[in-house]
Amino acid sequence: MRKSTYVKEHLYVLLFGILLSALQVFFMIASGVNVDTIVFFMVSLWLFILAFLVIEYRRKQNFYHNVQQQLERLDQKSLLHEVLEVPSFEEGQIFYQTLEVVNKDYNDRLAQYAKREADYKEYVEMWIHEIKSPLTAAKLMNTNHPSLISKELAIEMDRMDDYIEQALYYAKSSDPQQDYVLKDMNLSDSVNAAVRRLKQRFIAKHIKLTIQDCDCKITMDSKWLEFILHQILDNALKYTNDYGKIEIYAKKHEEHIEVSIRDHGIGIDPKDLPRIYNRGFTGENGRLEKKATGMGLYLCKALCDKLYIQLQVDSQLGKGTSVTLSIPNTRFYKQLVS
Amino acid sequence: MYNKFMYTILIVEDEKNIRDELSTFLKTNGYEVITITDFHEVSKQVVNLHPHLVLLDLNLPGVDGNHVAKEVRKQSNVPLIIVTSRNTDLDELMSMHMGADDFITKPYNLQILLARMERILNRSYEGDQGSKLYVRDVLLDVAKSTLTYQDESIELTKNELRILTTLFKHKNNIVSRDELMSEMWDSDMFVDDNALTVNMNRLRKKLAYLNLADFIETKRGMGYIIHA
Repeated sequence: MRKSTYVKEHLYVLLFGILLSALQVFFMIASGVNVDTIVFFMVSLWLFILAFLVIEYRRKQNFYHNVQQQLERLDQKSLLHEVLEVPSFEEGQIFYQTLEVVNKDYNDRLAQYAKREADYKEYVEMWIHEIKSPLTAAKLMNTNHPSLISKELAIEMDRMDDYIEQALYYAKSSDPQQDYVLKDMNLSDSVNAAVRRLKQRFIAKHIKLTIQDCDCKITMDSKWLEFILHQILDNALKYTNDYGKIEIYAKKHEEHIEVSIRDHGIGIDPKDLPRIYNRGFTGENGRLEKKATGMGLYLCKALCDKLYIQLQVDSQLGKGTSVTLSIPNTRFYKQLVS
Repeated sequence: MYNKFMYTILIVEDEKNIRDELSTFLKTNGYEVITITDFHEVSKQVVNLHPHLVLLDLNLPGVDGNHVAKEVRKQSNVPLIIVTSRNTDLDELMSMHMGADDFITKPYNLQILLARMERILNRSYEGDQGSKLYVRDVLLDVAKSTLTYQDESIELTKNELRILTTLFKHKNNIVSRDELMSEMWDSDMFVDDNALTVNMNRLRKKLAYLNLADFIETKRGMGYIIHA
């Protein structure tokens, strides 16, 4: 609340005061009242007017200033009325009650949406677990009854499995709760598991894979990390030509461990780089590749953020891409928990 | 059926299709298989059937697999592998805590399922025939990583052992280079074409030392075979 605005808004009081004073002075002079009395009258009138204005200003200023300050301080602005004291003047009380009602309505709606989303998430997760049963049965049948297309079918089923898993982690990535479990593990466990899942394609494309220095202890959720690595490797494979090279290597630092996946594939256009984490973004290269959904890196980024992992992508068009995960050391996560 | 001794595997799975196909799959891979179709008092049945290993589904009608594992553990040390479609670290910790020996998620890679079963069986029944494979008079000792012929032995590297194990298990059948590589990748040996060729050549030299120069026959453009 600014003084100038306040004065402007109360200009009518001043104008009315001036008008009243002028009238009174005129009448008092006309009826022969002595000057001392007139001055006393005027001074008390103006003292009253100014005192009224100042006190009004103070009361409102106290309240609204507090409102503005709290609003700035609050992360969740909708909690405003919870931190305010009920003001002493009616206008403020109306304001306060309005906030209260609006906020309650807002919370009710929010709760409705939250419930709807939680229900949906629960359903998706259940669905994901259910769908794995028929998929398992199908894989077994395919193995037990080999045919001309068994190999192709197996590859298609693996792809189904990948998409299903992506959906599961998508649900997890938007969950406000942290439903991962941090435990001491070896980085190579997740690296190897991610690679194993892609072995068919590595072998079919005759890729030369080197893994270096990944035998180190970290604190992490192994399944989440496996999923992230799998997505990155999947991309690397997608954009690497047959007989190409992919390298995975780790570097230990004081505060964190860096694990990089480098390919020598087609790379990313520099003008696309800032947008690669955007949901649904497929660059020039992605569009050429029909299988790009633009979800892979988006999900990786979202999951990395939740795990406090820094994700960095360096790329040169035509030369290759290098994706680096900086995983904080065990001490960091221990502090996080305590 | 490459093992003289047949292990009995009990499949506890309520979904008929998976149960039947998994039985078929395990039978073709040299195991005796028993299944249960009545899911009352599962733990009691498991104990009474005396299998060598149990593949236990977590999602059983009316009873939680973890609970079954816990009940079985009270009365028996039979190796238990939990098979489930829930694949978080938390689920795994929980099952291991209940006494499971391993935890495999659906849809499983069948080769990995076999490998894990084999590992647990070998560990649990040491001294059994599981880790020794024969072709003619050539003995492959998987546990010791050696190949023995006419009282002479050679030591094998991890890669060589994996190659020979695969060929021994598929004796009289051609194993393609891709299949060999696939087997090796399952054991975290990520070899490419060149590396496989190098490994193969080194292995042949070692075999020549045992007078087994032609033990592994190359089928041009198709793969490798050893004849029983």
